Order: sequence, then C-alpha cells, then structure tokens
Amino acid sequence: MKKEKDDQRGGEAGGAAGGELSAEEREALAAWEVPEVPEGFAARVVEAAAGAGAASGSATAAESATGAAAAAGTATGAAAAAGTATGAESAAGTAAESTTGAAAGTATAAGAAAEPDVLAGAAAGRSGAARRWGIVVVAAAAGLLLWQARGIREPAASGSAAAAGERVTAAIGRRGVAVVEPGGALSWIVDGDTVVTQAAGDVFYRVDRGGPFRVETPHGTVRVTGTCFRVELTTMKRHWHALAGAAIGAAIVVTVYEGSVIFADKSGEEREVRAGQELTAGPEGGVRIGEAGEAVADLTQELGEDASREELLARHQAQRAEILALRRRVAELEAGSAGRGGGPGDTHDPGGRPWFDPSQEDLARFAEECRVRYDLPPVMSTEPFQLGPRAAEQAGLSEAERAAINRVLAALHREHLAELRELYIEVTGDASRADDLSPQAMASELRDKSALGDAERANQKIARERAGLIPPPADLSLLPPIERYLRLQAALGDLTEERLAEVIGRGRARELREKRGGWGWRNEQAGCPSDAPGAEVEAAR
Amino acid sequence: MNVAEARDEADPGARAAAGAPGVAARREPELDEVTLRRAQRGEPDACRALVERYQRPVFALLCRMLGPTRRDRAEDLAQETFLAVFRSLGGFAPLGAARLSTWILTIASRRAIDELRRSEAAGRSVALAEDTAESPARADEGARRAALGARVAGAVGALPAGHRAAFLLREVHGMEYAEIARALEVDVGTVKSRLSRARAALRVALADLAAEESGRGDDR
Repeated sequence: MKKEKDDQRGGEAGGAAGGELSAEEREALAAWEVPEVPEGFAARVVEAAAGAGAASGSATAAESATGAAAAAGTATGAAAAAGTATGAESAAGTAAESTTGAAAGTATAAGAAAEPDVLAGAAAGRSGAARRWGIVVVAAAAGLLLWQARGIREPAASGSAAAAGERVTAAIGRRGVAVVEPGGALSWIVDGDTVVTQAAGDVFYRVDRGGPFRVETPHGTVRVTGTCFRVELTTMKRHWHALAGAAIGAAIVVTVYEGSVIFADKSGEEREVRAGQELTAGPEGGVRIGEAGEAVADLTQELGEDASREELLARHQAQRAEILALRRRVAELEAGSAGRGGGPGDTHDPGGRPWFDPSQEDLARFAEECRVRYDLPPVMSTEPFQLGPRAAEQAGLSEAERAAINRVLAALHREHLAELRELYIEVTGDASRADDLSPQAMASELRDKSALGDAERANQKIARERAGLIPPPADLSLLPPIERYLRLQAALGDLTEERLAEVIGRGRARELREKRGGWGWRNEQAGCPSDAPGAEVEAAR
Repeated sequence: MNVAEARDEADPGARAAAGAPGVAARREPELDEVTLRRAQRGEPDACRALVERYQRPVFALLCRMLGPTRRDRAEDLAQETFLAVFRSLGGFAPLGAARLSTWILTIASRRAIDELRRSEAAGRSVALAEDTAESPARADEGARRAALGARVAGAVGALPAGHRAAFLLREVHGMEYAEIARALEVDVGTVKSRLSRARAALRVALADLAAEESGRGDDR
C-alpha cells in the first residue's frame, strides 16, 4: 500500500501519467501482435453458457415464455429507430415465439431466425394501445409473428420518440403511454416485459397494470407495475436549487401520482416511491424522498431563487392540473382507439379492411395528420428472415414454394440493405462504418442526421399522395435522403406482395398478407411539419 | 439509437475520449441495443453475436496480460470471462456507468490479474518476452517489427500485473483513467502512476533496442 502511495506521488509529480506515447512508441505497441481468436470460440462459449445455465435474463425469460415452454421460449424485440429532433419516429417490431405446446415450445428469433415470422399466425390483437393523432407520434409495430392467439402475451413492439419543439405522446405497447415534453427522448422495447430507455428530458408515464415495466435512465431505474409517474432528467449543467438556497444537484426527479414505483439507483439500492411522493437523486447519489408538493415547491428552476412559496405552490398546482389534462387526453386517445380500430394490434379496421390498406376516408384523415401507415417484411434484421418448414406447412405452402419465398425474402433484404447503405453513405460519407452497422443503426443515424423537418415533410407528402391529393414526385433523386428512405420503407409491403405473387400467385400472396394484416412488421409514422395545417390543428387542441 | 449512441448522449465525455490524445485504439461501435436486449434474455444467437463482437479485444487483452508462456490459459480465461458476462448481463444497464466493452474488459482484466497472482504465488514464472525476442539482427521489416513487438511485450510483461493491466487498458483498449480505476479498483492517481511507470519502462526498452541496432550498425 505504501509503495502504491509512493508510486502515486511519483506519477503525479512526473506529469500527466508519464506523458502520452509518441507516434513511434505507438508504432512499437502496434507491433506487439497477439494470436487470432481460435476458430469456433463463440459457439463453444454459447454452448458452455447453455450447459452451465449461465445465460442471464432468467427473470425476463420466465416472463416471456408461456407455460412450460419457459426453457425454450424466447422472443425478439425489434430495434428502435431514433426519433428525429422534431419528433419523428420510426419503429419496427417483430416477435417470434413458439407457444405450440407446453413441452414442445421451440424458440424462434429475429435475424437469422430458425423459424418463420413473416407468415406465421397472427395474434388476435385487442385494440388496447392508444392511437395517435395529429402530431402525436407513436411507434407501434405489432407483433404479427405469433403462432397462435392462445396464451400469447402482448405483441412485441418497439419504437422511440423524441420531442424537440412540441410535446409528443407515444403509446408504449398496450399498457403504457408516455407524454414527452420538449427536449425529452426515449426508446422502448416491449417484449414480454417492457423496457423504456429514457435518455433525456421530462416524461410523464401512465402504465396499466400488467407485467414488468421499467424505465432505465443514466441515473437509475424506475420499476413499475401500474401507476402514473413522471421522470425528469436534468443535465449536469442545469441545477435545481432548494428554496432555502442549498443546492441539490438533482440528476433525476421521479414524481408519483398514482400507485407506486421502485427506484433503483446506480448501485442497485432500491427505494419505494408512493403516490404523492417525489424522489430526487443527485448525479452521485444523495437520494431524497419527500412529499410531492413540498419537493416540487423546492424546485425554482423556472421561477428563480427569489420566488415566493406561494408562487412555487401555484406552479405546482398548475403542474397537477396539467397532469390531469394529460390523463384526460390519454383517455380520449384510448377511447378513440377502441372506437376506430385499426390500432397496432389489429389485423383489420372496423370496416373489415386489412390494416395495411386503409379506406379512402382513413387516407384522407391520415393526410390531415401527416400519417403514413405501412407494413414490411423484417428487413431491419442483420440477416434475412427465412421461412421455416413448420410455418410453411401451417401456411399450406409446399417445400418448393417455401424455397421460392425464401429467395424473395433474401433478395428484398439484400436490396433494402444496399439502398439503406447508399443513403447512409450519402449522408455520413462514411462507407467503412456502414459495413459495421446494423440496418437499424444506419436507419437511426440517417434520421438523426437529417435536416430538421425533412421527415415531417416526407410524412406529409406521402400521406397526401396516398390520399390522391397530390401527385407523386417525378424524380426521387432530388428528394432529401430521409424522404427517400421513408419512401423505400413505405413501399416495401406492396413490393413484397408483388414479388411473392410471382412465385406463389397473386391471390395467394394477398391472402397471406391479409391474414396477418401485413408482412411481419407494421409501422406508422406521423407528424406534420411545424407550418402544416395538421400541426395547427394539433396545437389548437 | 443504439447503446453506444445513447451512452454518448448521456455522457459526452465518453465520445470525446475516443479521440482523446493517448488513446491508441479507436473505439469500435458497441453491440446494438436490440442484440444486447436479446442477449440479456439469453437468446443463443444474440449471445453468440455478443461474443463475436468482443472476443478479439478480450483475447488480445488476455494474451498480452498473460504473456507467451501462459497463453494457453487465454482461451480458458476468455471463456470464463464471457460466462461471467452472461451470468450478470441481465443486470447490465445500457445507460449505466460503464460501456459494455469496458465492463467486459474489466472482467477479463480481473481474471488475468487473478491468474497471474495465482501463478506467482505458485512460484511459476511469467515469461517476460516473446519467443522472437532474440532475432533483432535480421534486417527485414517483418523481423524488425517482430523484434519491436517482442521488446514491447518484454517491457510490459516485466511490470506487475496491475501496472500491466492499466497500461493495456489505456494504451491498447482506449479506456479512460476513471474507467481503469474502477476496473482495477484503485484510485485515478494510482492509475496515473502505474501508467507513468509502464510508459517509462516502454521507453527504456525501446531506447535499449535502438542502441543495440545502432551498435550492430556500427560493427558492420
């Protein structure tokens, strides 16, 4: 120990850890070669992990599996694509879970899945998820890939939302609604349990009772069963101050309005926060739980440190009123969803039309809302989906048809990846990174790097074209990359049907697509540009 | 947003560190979030993807830590590392304090240090240099490079395990001082002092090599 202390003094006295290495020294270091990883190492490790029961996530696996299929049951989430700065969103979701019997539950997975997803049986989805409207942005990708309705949990879904200038509301699976204040950003994966990753900002959540639902933040995790609560994250540059002037460098504030939540800080220590309470935690810990009213009154961020207690309490009252308004709005969304159908869990709308083929009336409404609804095969996986023999048999497909379908799916995957890669390189100029990134990661970066409002303008144009209000563009090459990407995705459903029609016949291809309400993944993207009529309508509500 | 991007947003310093002076290795993208989530649920293909993504740095760290005579233990320790990762992966928070790569390398470095300490306690010597260390006279570039690498390996291999780990985690794997401090369970000042000693040892070794080469040149 003494020696370490001496060393420490010597090291610090000697400058910045002895000075950084020179270029020549780095070259020498690079010359220190090591053997390659032995062939088959990864497979051996996974095998050993399976044998040793080392794989983690036993809790979630138990949650995700149905019945005795727990050991083999698995499910996949789909990657979330980041929302753009103005609240655009994208999501793709897929699920694959075998529930064909308590003992025989074989697992299917996304990516290079062993079993088919595109044509597998659909869950009879109830329309529980809140619908979006106006600029409301919801990533809702239904899990269409479930074998049977029996025993199936909520369809897998994922998505993300980010709010720049306006509040954004997002449905998180069927149980949760998040109201994201400007500056907030989150993504989520619903797959048995629901995991929300809140990266920034102020988000109000309402969660119906059900399975595990947790919100992960850089400062801790909020675990929920059914409740209303709010999570505010602050940056290190922005401090909250106590009324008395004592600084509380709060990094996270969790306010609970109904029910209770469990907050686990970075060290894993858990604390229960009940309705009416508010938890504040600093970046280095220092967790405090107090009455919500009192705690909120402590926060003088907007009013200034000289604000009176009455002013602070008044602000708190206003916040509570806003929460009530938000809850009413959520209720309206859910009522609308129940009444109109066609939600992310439905295969058909109330008029009996397939989910992916809205009526002219709906298309006109979508045009007002700058909403584009589309289905697509699971092309966002790193590897193409391949239809397995069991699913093919269930779908009544011959082996020759299965092989032909797999060729089509592989070709679509390849073409989509190539186009996405080109767009990515066009935007970033980084071809080498394109080879390293997954399709989801490229799509996410494409969105992040697109100009403000481009995604919303694309939504608006595509929605209007679909409603027959404007003609499609004559030259796609002139469009912004993000618009070309959204058009590429939005056209994939029809393209898939067209390609499959060539190998199994038009009627059969349509039948398969309708049976599921679309191919594998379903997505809606919405949000008008800030100067669009849709945005004004929303702002007026 | 993948895990790395999310982390960078949450911790801008992490992104800056990738290009910081003194960081030898460019940080590769972390495993994407979806695959990570699937691995956390124990899905075999995702677990395999995780291993494939991180096996090279883990092997490199272990091989360099252990030296040539203990290299046969590298695969065992790498496997132990990943099994430990899978056991705890469910609790790994993508937006937590550590990157996935940092966390995995932390586990690997601790395994290596434990192994070296066990070896030393058992009286087994750890080879300080690569087998190729005695071939500096050959003039071709490949041999020169091999000699250079061997000299570096010898210099770093002569350091105590904790110093060696600090040096490799910093100079090869690009970890920040604070990350290394957490990994090795020492304070940042100690990390700096270890780095200082390691760099000094490296410089001495390279200076010796240069002197030897110069001497041979004079003899001709």
